[in-house]
Amino acid sequence: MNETPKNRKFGLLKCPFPLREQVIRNMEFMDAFHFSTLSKRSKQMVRSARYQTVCTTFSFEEDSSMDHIEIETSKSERLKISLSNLNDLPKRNQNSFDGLKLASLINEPSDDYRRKLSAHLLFIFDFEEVSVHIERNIEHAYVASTAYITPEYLQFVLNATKAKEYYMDFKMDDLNFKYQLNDCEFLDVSGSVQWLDTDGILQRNPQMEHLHLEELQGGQINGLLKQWINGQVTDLESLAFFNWDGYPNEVILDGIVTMETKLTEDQAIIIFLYWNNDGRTVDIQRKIDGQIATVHINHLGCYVHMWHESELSKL
Amino acid sequence: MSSTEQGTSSAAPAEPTTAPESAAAPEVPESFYYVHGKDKVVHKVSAGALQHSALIHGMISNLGYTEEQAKANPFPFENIDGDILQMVVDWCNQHKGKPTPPEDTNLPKQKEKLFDLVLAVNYLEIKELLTYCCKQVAMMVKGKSPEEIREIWMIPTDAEDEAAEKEAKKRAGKEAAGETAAAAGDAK
Repeated sequence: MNETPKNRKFGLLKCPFPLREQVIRNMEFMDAFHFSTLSKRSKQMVRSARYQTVCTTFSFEEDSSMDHIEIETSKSERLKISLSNLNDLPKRNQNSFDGLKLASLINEPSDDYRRKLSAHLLFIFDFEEVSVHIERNIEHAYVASTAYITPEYLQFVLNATKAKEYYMDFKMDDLNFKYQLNDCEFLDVSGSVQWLDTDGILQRNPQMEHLHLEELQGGQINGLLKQWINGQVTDLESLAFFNWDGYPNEVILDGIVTMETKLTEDQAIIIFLYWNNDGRTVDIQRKIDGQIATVHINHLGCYVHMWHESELSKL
Repeated sequence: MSSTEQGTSSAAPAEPTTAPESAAAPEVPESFYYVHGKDKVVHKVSAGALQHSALIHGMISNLGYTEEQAKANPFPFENIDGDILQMVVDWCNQHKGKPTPPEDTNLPKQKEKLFDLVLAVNYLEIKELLTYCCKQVAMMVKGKSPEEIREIWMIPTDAEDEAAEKEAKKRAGKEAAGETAAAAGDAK
């Protein structure tokens, strides 16, 4: 049957809300994206529909012309959106969507198309997992070329990815912003950690269970231990700080009341993966509830284990 | 639209046709119910087929109607067009007691019919059919450009939405003023 202009149309907005949302959830990913660019209302509709996708990865490759967003949808589709630099148009992968073109459909003011597109995607779609993959050395971030990721853009990605667990492994010399992490449960940072604001980090992340940081200054570790001692009850279970040059005891424990540990050597070996009998082991206590933690400092780093009553009774 | 093997369509409650479903007849005779849409044409549907509709299943549960009572009390769905209800009844009969396939190619292709069908199926709470219908609606815009999607689904622009909102507020203000004036008049 030939379609007449009249029966080509379908008044989606005349349908009840749950029905519209079910229709949106049944759309192809790119169709849902296109739909979201039609108006503020359609953008909000896609968000409300909670269109499920398995994961999205923001990839910043060694060659910036290969930068892209990779999306795996719940329909097992794998989509690639190129985030290549404006000047690298000829290098664009023919099989991927052009991020610049997609961003031009979004009616938002922004002088950074990658930022606009990323923000839009993260707003409208319900990604089960969001990861950031960085291949190139960010120490060149200040090179006056838009070919490189800027500190602001990295900060934006960090702000936009509200993950419970972060594994960050990249070198970023000369990067001097301070990022305030919130509502995180597991943080593992290797390479460079100077971008992480550790002041009040335990208060901002009361559900933090494990915090593993590399090359953190001894004074900052001292500050973190004091945060725990003087702070509220949190879910913290362990702290681990790695420094291949070792940490000086006096800096880490400066101004902290310590107690002789009740741990035997055998127990310490089980508790601390990096335990060394040449190191120093002491107990510290949180003021608000008297919880005990054991601090072990050796030539590889500093490790802290927070004791819970059930564990203590077994000792 | 042809009537189904279990039922007939007519302006009056239909006489049951007794086409057996299979050689091995069930021990307990199947019960039937009657529904009609806007056109008052009554459709006879088995309880098994009606199980697809959560709404009707909820209505008939524990009713304990006899055949005569059921025939005398067809369920009225005045908000559903007769031909749409017929489609729904046909689908329920075709899929009675069967696992629903991942795709259904028998749904109407005309957008106007599909729109009415989606609303009816949503109202009758037929989950599987609703899934097919929503997929079909979603497929209308598959691979289309944003402006084509706007046209097909009649999505207003931000400016049109804002104008409509202003108009609605203006109208609501006028109505409220009218009600206040009427209330003041009543008080006098």
